[in-house]
Amino acid sequence: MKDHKIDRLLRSAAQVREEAPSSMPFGFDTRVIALWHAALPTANGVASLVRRVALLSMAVIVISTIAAVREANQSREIGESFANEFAIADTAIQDEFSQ
Amino acid sequence: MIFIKVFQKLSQFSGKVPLEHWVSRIAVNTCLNQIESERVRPELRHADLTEEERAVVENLATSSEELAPDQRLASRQLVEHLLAALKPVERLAIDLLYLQGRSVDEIRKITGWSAALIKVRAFRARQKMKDQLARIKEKP
Repeated sequence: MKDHKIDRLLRSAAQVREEAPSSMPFGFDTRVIALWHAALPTANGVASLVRRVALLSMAVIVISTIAAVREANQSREIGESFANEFAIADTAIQDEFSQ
Repeated sequence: MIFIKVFQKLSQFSGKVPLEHWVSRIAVNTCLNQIESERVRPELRHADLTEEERAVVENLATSSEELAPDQRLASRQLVEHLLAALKPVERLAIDLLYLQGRSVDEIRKITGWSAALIKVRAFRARQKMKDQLARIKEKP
Protein backbone atom coordinates (compact mmCIF):
# COMPACT_ATOMS: atom_id res chain seq x y z
CA MET A 1 0.00 0.00 0.00
CA LYS A 2 1.31 3.42 -0.87
CA ASP A 3 2.21 5.81 1.87
CA HIS A 4 0.38 9.02 1.04
CA LYS A 5 2.23 11.12 3.63
CA ILE A 6 5.55 10.50 1.92
CA ASP A 7 3.94 11.08 -1.47
CA ARG A 8 2.53 14.43 -0.35
CA LEU A 9 5.82 15.43 1.21
CA LEU A 10 7.83 14.50 -1.89
CA ARG A 11 5.36 16.20 -4.23
CA SER A 12 5.59 19.39 -2.21
CA ALA A 13 9.38 19.20 -2.00
CA ALA A 14 9.63 18.64 -5.75
CA GLN A 15 7.96 22.00 -6.36
CA VAL A 16 11.12 23.70 -5.08
CA ARG A 17 13.44 23.59 -8.03
CA GLU A 18 17.16 23.80 -7.54
CA GLU A 19 18.76 26.11 -10.02
CA ALA A 20 21.68 23.86 -10.82
CA PRO A 21 22.81 24.08 -14.45
CA SER A 22 21.98 20.80 -16.15
CA SER A 23 24.11 21.41 -19.22
CA MET A 24 27.83 21.05 -19.65
CA PRO A 25 30.01 24.20 -19.69
CA PHE A 26 30.23 25.93 -23.06
CA GLY A 27 32.55 24.11 -25.43
CA PHE A 28 33.24 21.32 -22.99
CA ASP A 29 31.96 18.51 -25.19
CA THR A 30 33.93 19.84 -28.16
CA ARG A 31 37.14 19.84 -26.13
CA VAL A 32 36.48 16.34 -24.81
CA ILE A 33 35.79 14.96 -28.28
CA ALA A 34 38.87 16.72 -29.68
CA LEU A 35 41.09 15.34 -26.92
CA TRP A 36 39.57 11.92 -27.34
CA HIS A 37 40.32 11.98 -31.09
CA ALA A 38 43.86 13.11 -30.38
CA ALA A 39 44.32 10.32 -27.84
CA LEU A 40 43.03 7.60 -30.14
CA PRO A 41 45.79 5.07 -30.92
CA THR A 42 47.07 5.36 -34.49
CA ALA A 43 46.79 2.32 -36.75
CA ASN A 44 49.85 0.06 -36.67
CA GLY A 45 52.24 -0.36 -39.62
CA VAL A 46 50.78 -3.54 -41.08
CA ALA A 47 47.18 -2.29 -41.05
CA SER A 48 48.24 0.96 -42.66
CA LEU A 49 50.22 -0.88 -45.36
CA VAL A 50 47.32 -3.22 -46.11
CA ARG A 51 44.97 -0.26 -46.40
CA ARG A 52 47.34 1.53 -48.78
CA VAL A 53 47.82 -1.59 -50.93
CA ALA A 54 44.05 -2.11 -51.08
CA LEU A 55 43.47 1.51 -52.13
CA LEU A 56 46.24 1.34 -54.73
CA SER A 57 44.91 -1.94 -56.13
CA MET A 58 41.44 -0.48 -56.37
CA ALA A 59 42.76 2.53 -58.23
CA VAL A 60 44.73 0.31 -60.65
CA ILE A 61 41.67 -1.88 -61.29
CA VAL A 62 39.46 1.14 -61.99
CA ILE A 63 42.02 2.74 -64.37
CA SER A 64 42.63 -0.57 -66.16
CA THR A 65 38.92 -1.17 -66.62
CA ILE A 66 38.39 2.31 -68.08
CA ALA A 67 41.38 1.86 -70.41
CA ALA A 68 40.18 -1.57 -71.56
CA VAL A 69 36.68 -0.30 -72.32
CA ARG A 70 38.05 2.67 -74.32
CA GLU A 71 40.43 0.41 -76.20
CA ALA A 72 37.63 -2.00 -77.07
CA ASN A 73 35.44 0.86 -78.33
CA GLN A 74 38.25 2.29 -80.47
CA SER A 75 39.17 -1.04 -82.08
CA ARG A 76 35.52 -1.70 -82.90
CA GLU A 77 35.23 1.72 -84.60
CA ILE A 78 38.44 1.11 -86.60
CA GLY A 79 37.21 -2.34 -87.63
CA GLU A 80 33.92 -0.90 -88.79
CA SER A 81 35.63 1.85 -90.84
CA PHE A 82 37.93 -0.71 -92.50
CA ALA A 83 34.96 -2.87 -93.35
CA ASN A 84 33.29 0.07 -95.09
CA GLU A 85 36.43 0.89 -97.07
CA PHE A 86 36.77 -2.72 -98.21
CA ALA A 87 33.15 -2.74 -99.33
CA ILE A 88 33.61 0.49 -101.34
CA ALA A 89 36.78 -0.83 -102.94
CA ASP A 90 35.13 -4.13 -103.78
CA THR A 91 32.17 -2.39 -105.38
CA ALA A 92 34.48 -0.14 -107.39
CA ILE A 93 36.51 -3.11 -108.67
CA GLN A 94 33.37 -4.98 -109.60
CA ASP A 95 32.10 -1.94 -111.52
CA GLU A 96 35.42 -1.60 -113.31
CA PHE A 97 35.40 -5.23 -114.42
CA SER A 98 31.79 -5.18 -115.49
CA GLN A 99 32.50 -2.26 -117.86
CA MET B 1 35.77 17.63 -9.66
CA ILE B 2 33.53 15.73 -12.06
CA PHE B 3 34.95 17.52 -15.09
CA ILE B 4 38.49 16.85 -13.92
CA LYS B 5 37.61 13.17 -13.65
CA VAL B 6 36.13 13.27 -17.14
CA PHE B 7 39.43 14.59 -18.50
CA GLN B 8 41.40 12.06 -16.48
CA LYS B 9 39.32 9.13 -17.71
CA LEU B 10 39.12 10.33 -21.30
CA SER B 11 41.19 7.40 -22.53
CA GLN B 12 38.47 5.05 -21.25
CA PHE B 13 35.76 6.66 -23.40
CA SER B 14 34.99 4.12 -26.11
CA GLY B 15 32.83 6.43 -28.22
CA LYS B 16 30.15 3.71 -28.40
CA VAL B 17 27.73 5.56 -26.08
CA PRO B 18 26.71 9.24 -26.27
CA LEU B 19 29.07 11.57 -24.42
CA GLU B 20 26.25 12.83 -22.17
CA HIS B 21 25.58 9.32 -20.85
CA TRP B 22 29.26 8.68 -20.24
CA VAL B 23 29.69 11.98 -18.39
CA SER B 24 26.56 11.39 -16.30
CA ARG B 25 27.83 7.93 -15.27
CA ILE B 26 31.07 9.53 -14.05
CA ALA B 27 29.09 12.25 -12.27
CA VAL B 28 26.86 9.69 -10.56
CA ASN B 29 29.76 7.53 -9.43
CA THR B 30 31.79 10.52 -8.22
CA CYS B 31 28.87 11.84 -6.19
CA LEU B 32 28.09 8.42 -4.72
CA ASN B 33 31.72 7.96 -3.68
CA GLN B 34 31.74 11.42 -2.12
CA ILE B 35 28.56 10.78 -0.15
CA GLU B 36 29.80 7.32 0.85
CA SER B 37 32.93 8.87 2.28
CA GLU B 38 30.87 11.15 4.53
CA ARG B 39 30.21 9.99 8.06
CA VAL B 40 26.82 8.59 8.98
CA ARG B 41 24.69 11.37 10.33
CA PRO B 42 22.95 11.01 13.70
CA GLU B 43 19.27 10.18 13.76
CA LEU B 44 16.99 13.11 13.12
CA ARG B 45 14.93 14.30 16.09
CA HIS B 46 11.92 16.51 16.41
CA ALA B 47 14.01 19.10 18.25
CA ASP B 48 16.41 19.32 15.28
CA LEU B 49 13.66 20.57 13.01
CA THR B 50 12.81 24.21 12.39
CA GLU B 51 9.38 25.60 13.24
CA GLU B 52 8.35 25.37 9.60
CA GLU B 53 9.53 21.77 9.29
CA ARG B 54 7.63 20.83 12.45
CA ALA B 55 4.54 22.46 10.95
CA VAL B 56 4.97 20.28 7.87
CA VAL B 57 5.28 17.14 10.02
CA GLU B 58 2.16 18.18 11.94
CA ASN B 59 0.28 18.88 8.73
CA LEU B 60 1.21 15.49 7.28
CA ALA B 61 -0.05 13.75 10.42
CA THR B 62 -3.32 15.62 10.82
CA SER B 63 -4.45 16.33 7.27
CA SER B 64 -4.70 14.32 4.08
CA GLU B 65 -4.67 17.36 1.80
CA GLU B 66 -1.74 18.59 -0.27
CA LEU B 67 0.72 20.81 1.56
CA ALA B 68 0.24 24.54 1.09
CA PRO B 69 2.56 26.39 -1.33
CA ASP B 70 4.14 28.33 1.56
CA GLN B 71 5.23 25.02 3.09
CA ARG B 72 7.13 23.87 0.01
CA LEU B 73 10.49 25.18 1.13
CA ALA B 74 10.11 23.64 4.59
CA SER B 75 9.01 20.34 3.06
CA ARG B 76 12.06 20.40 0.83
CA GLN B 77 14.31 20.97 3.85
CA LEU B 78 12.56 18.17 5.73
CA VAL B 79 13.07 15.83 2.78
CA GLU B 80 16.76 16.81 2.68
CA HIS B 81 17.01 15.89 6.37
CA LEU B 82 15.31 12.55 5.78
CA LEU B 83 17.46 11.83 2.72
CA ALA B 84 20.64 12.48 4.70
CA ALA B 85 20.01 9.36 6.75
CA LEU B 86 19.63 7.12 3.70
CA LYS B 87 22.25 5.24 1.76
CA PRO B 88 23.69 7.28 -1.12
CA VAL B 89 22.12 5.03 -3.75
CA GLU B 90 18.71 5.31 -2.09
CA ARG B 91 19.13 9.06 -1.81
CA LEU B 92 19.92 9.24 -5.50
CA ALA B 93 16.92 7.10 -6.42
CA ILE B 94 14.53 9.37 -4.49
CA ASP B 95 16.15 12.52 -5.83
CA LEU B 96 15.98 11.46 -9.47
CA LEU B 97 12.59 9.77 -9.33
CA TYR B 98 10.58 12.09 -7.09
CA LEU B 99 12.40 15.40 -6.70
CA GLN B 100 13.64 15.74 -10.27
CA GLY B 101 10.63 13.88 -11.66
CA ARG B 102 12.65 11.72 -14.06
CA SER B 103 11.27 8.55 -15.60
CA VAL B 104 12.63 5.10 -14.73
CA ASP B 105 14.03 4.86 -18.25
CA GLU B 106 15.91 8.15 -17.86
CA ILE B 107 17.33 7.04 -14.51
CA ARG B 108 18.35 3.75 -16.08
CA LYS B 109 20.37 5.66 -18.68
CA ILE B 110 21.89 8.04 -16.14
CA THR B 111 22.87 5.49 -13.50
CA GLY B 112 23.19 2.27 -15.44
CA TRP B 113 20.92 0.51 -12.93
CA SER B 114 18.18 -1.84 -14.09
CA ALA B 115 14.55 -0.74 -13.88
CA ALA B 116 13.88 -3.31 -11.16
CA LEU B 117 16.83 -2.08 -9.09
CA ILE B 118 15.65 1.52 -9.36
CA LYS B 119 12.18 0.56 -8.13
CA VAL B 120 13.55 -1.56 -5.29
CA ARG B 121 15.88 1.21 -4.11
CA ALA B 122 13.12 3.82 -4.32
CA PHE B 123 10.75 1.54 -2.40
CA ARG B 124 13.28 0.86 0.37
CA ALA B 125 14.14 4.54 0.59
CA ARG B 126 10.46 5.48 0.91
CA GLN B 127 10.02 2.89 3.65
CA LYS B 128 12.99 4.29 5.57
CA MET B 129 11.73 7.83 5.16
CA LYS B 130 8.30 6.77 6.37
CA ASP B 131 9.80 5.05 9.45
CA GLN B 132 11.96 8.05 10.20
CA LEU B 133 9.01 10.40 9.90
CA ALA B 134 7.04 8.21 12.32
CA ARG B 135 9.95 8.23 14.80
CA ILE B 136 10.19 12.02 14.64
CA LYS B 137 6.53 12.22 15.58
CA GLU B 138 6.93 9.66 18.40
CA LYS B 139 10.07 11.18 19.96
CA PRO B 140 9.65 14.92 20.40
